[in-house]
Amino acid sequence: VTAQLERRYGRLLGVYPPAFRDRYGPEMLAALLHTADVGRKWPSARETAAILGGGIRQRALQQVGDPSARGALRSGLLLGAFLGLGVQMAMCLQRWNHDWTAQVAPITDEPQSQLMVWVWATALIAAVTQTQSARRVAVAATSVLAVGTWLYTVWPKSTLYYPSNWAVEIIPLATGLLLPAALLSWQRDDIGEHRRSSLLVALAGPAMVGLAIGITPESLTDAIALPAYFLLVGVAVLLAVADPRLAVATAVAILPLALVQVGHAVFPRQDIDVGAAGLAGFIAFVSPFALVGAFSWLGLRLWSKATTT
Amino acid sequence: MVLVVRLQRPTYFVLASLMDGPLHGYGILGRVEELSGGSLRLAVGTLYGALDRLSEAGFVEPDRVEQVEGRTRRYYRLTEEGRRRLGAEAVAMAEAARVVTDRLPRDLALETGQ
Repeated sequence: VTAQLERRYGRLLGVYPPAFRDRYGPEMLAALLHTADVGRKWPSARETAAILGGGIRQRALQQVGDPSARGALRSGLLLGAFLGLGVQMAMCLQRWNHDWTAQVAPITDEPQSQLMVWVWATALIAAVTQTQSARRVAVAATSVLAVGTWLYTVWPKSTLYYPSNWAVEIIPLATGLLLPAALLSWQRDDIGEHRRSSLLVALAGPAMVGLAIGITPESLTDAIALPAYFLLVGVAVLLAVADPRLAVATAVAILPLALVQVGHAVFPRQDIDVGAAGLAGFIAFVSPFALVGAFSWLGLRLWSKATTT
Repeated sequence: MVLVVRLQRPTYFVLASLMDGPLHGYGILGRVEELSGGSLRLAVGTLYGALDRLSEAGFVEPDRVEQVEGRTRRYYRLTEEGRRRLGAEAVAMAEAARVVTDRLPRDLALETGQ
């Protein structure tokens, strides 16, 4: 066994959160060195993959403290987050389809919804990062992106300017500010902290998805997205009945949509008239479901890995 | 509403490896490979992820600690609850297997025209 290999494995074990490393680190290192081939200087690909995967997973697990609520919230949030990203990407794609058929009135917010994918990704990084400093950076980036995006959409001279209703546009801003607040006060799972952190996790989930999809409310009023929305609700109800954990996930994914719909019902807008026909319309209708399906599948796979002992 | 979670194959064999007595991490890896007829070679990261989950679930608990050549060796022991869960899993798998094996002779008989 070379000292080099021991040092490299030792460094690799740093991907585990400190508590896990303190508990299992020495024995893991002993087992790694014991099973290594004679003369090996670098960690094997197999062990490296297992350690990286295990480390990320342990860090994600530690975000929710209460063991009984942990499984449900963890898996629900994970699935909800994937649903949220799926919906966001679906909306980008739908917009692109509309653009392609030139049947939609001015498309001013495409860059904006792409930007929101990055806001969402930053939020997810913040959520799975264990170290306080990394989380602060991610939270700061999320806040700046959310407020910046919003300011750009309301500033008449910007390229993203989009005359709209303050009541509808305020939702993404509110969620954009709620998210960093929730993430910052989201404590490590020390004993006694779990009640508060569970509540904040529950707040952060909808906020994340709200960020992801709340910014493009007009797509929910068009002829294609409205039936899609109701189908999504139908699927969500079916999933929620199947398992309580999925209820958390679907609630996370659906809540912002519902808020935006309520916003539109109270403050109707007349400037949106969207429709696509033929193959393009079919693609525009089907693509959101394909994406949501793909992300649900991925989320479910992760979920089953996370909950199977 | 209750979701029945089946044990994954690695977890099943980790529990099975401890049936004859406590083993340390490296010992578990060898025993799992042996019990599975060489088909299951666990990575160290996979093993300790499983041990952590199994400890949290109360299926496994730490036994004694030894220092061998300056390295820590912690032994793990199967708890009564772990033994019960493993037994229930084995019975469920045997029952599932029987659904097929009980029908095999008749199917084979039909196929051969007897």
